[in-house]
Amino acid sequence: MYTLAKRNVYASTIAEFLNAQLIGDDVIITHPTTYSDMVEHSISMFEAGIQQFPDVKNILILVEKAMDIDRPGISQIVSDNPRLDYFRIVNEFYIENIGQGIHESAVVEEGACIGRNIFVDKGSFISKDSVLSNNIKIMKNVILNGKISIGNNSIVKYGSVIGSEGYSFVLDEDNIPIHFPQIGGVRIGKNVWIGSNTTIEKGFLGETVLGDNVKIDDLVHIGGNCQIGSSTMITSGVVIAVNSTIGDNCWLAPNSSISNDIVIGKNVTIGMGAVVLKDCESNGVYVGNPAKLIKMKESPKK
Amino acid sequence: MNVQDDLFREKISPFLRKKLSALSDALGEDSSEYQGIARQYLYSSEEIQPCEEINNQHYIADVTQIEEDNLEHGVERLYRRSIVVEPIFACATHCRYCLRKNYKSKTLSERSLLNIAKFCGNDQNKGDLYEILITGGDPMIIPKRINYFVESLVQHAPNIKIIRIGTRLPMHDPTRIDHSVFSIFKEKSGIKFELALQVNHPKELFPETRAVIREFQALGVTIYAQNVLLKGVNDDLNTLITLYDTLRKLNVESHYLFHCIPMKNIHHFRTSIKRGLELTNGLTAGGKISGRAKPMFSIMTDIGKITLYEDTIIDRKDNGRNLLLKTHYSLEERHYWNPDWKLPESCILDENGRICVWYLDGEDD
Repeated sequence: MYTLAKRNVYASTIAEFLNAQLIGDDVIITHPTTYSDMVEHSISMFEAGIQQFPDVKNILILVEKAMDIDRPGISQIVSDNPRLDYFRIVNEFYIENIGQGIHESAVVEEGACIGRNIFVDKGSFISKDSVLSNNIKIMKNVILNGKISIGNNSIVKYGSVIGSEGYSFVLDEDNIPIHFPQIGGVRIGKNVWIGSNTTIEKGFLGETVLGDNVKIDDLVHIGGNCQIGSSTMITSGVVIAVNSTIGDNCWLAPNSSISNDIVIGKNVTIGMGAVVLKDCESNGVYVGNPAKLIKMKESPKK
Repeated sequence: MNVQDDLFREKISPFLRKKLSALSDALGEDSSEYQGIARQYLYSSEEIQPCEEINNQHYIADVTQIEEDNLEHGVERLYRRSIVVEPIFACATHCRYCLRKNYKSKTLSERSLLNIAKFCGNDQNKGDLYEILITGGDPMIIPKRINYFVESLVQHAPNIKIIRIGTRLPMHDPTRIDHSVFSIFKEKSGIKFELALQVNHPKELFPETRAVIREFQALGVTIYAQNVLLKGVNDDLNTLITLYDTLRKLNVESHYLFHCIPMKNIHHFRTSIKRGLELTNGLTAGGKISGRAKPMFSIMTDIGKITLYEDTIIDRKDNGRNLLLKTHYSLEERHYWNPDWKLPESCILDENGRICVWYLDGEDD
């Protein structure tokens, strides 16, 4: 999804980009590395706990506080948030965009509404009822099935299925499970990230909804008619059964499970492996099986 | 003292260094081809010779209040229909004669650019503003942020129909022009893109430069050149003829040939206006090049661009060193779209309220 592009960028240009001061020589920086792997002409950020400087020249390091360095050839930029600034530098100067367009092996059904700057990679399928806004990346082997809408700047990673038929059965008089017809859709907000091999079921009548800025890791399952609030982070292995509602700004740790018809408030943390069988109140931290409230957090600052 | 401490720092991309080295090996450092490029970028002791030009900056047209942003600078407005945005003041290489070399560096955040896009499309501006010039600095060195800005304009300022981007990156380091740059120009329906290059010497049109020009053109981008008349670089007829012929062959429109501005440390680049007029007239006189390839000889003054026609110079003083130039700019109009704008001391108003501006001429050897 990202391609490293080695480019000759002066350290002073990087400093100007950050509106920061360059300390040291204006060296050419060609690529980013981890701090421990720094080589000549590379950039990294200083990681807490590391005591020594790399034994190479012509490098640039992002630091929280200017450091006394008794060797030449190590330049610094002081940053309030080195991690964020490092991301900005890498993204702007050393990552080449993937292209736009639809790969010839992808299938986009007639009637699908496709916005600008759309990338659809090999082997993906876009249904006729899909509505894709602008700047969306659909990576390899993704299925968009049924009525799917996706907001601007969203990404769906490899092998995910959006709008899969829900696991919704009713028993007939003979106790034989019959599949309940799934005719709803999935509405995905803007700036949403959906990890690889994730499944999001369509609503059986209404919609499954993911709010703006929701970030979903690889290998997540979200049942039909769930409502996921804005900026909620759902990590790998999470399973959310049908018809549950998760509030804004929640954090669902790996392998946590949410039962069906649960309501989780805003700003809730669900611990690793927790099994949520009851509603959770806003700002709570819940852990264990069954999940229990262990403490309350402060409300996030607005 | 290192004289460069007080001066514009010498900064040359590895790409240009290689080209200079190759030219030096092939033709020697005295060749006009080497000098035509080297003089633009290499520090010269001529920069610190005493001169009449004392200004560190040339003109000021900042729009300081944009929606929620208090911008120190980064947005300029001199004209009704267009606005200038400078998202970054850095470039891949420093040109010694740069107009903005003494500006305080400031890079606009995505949030500021979003606010500028909303400002361009607000109720006050949407009737007037039609085009935007994104310049700097060189905006092409931060293509993702520029793409974000262009997307914001498409979304919040549909009145903007023409987006011009000023860049020297195709000459400074064409290896940095890849898909991230080309993405800016793709799939923005309803927008006409124009790319403003500045090519001062024909040798600057390297094979790599020509290749990216062709790629931009394949995307439907109109490319034009606005060049600067620089003593020792292109102030002879043959160089200009080759330059404009080559640009025409590359389907690059010739737009302005600017007189080099009166600014500190660049006196040695400045010809007289008379010399500039002779050269531009000489381009077409005698059928040297077609009028289709001829640039307009223009001056960037304290109040904006003035193209020199027969009756543009209306007075002279200081033994002819200062020229009074007539314009069609009106103070009242300018205040209408940029209330912050102040009439420079170099200006007077004529009987019709039009602005006339004094301009310091250069010198021929």
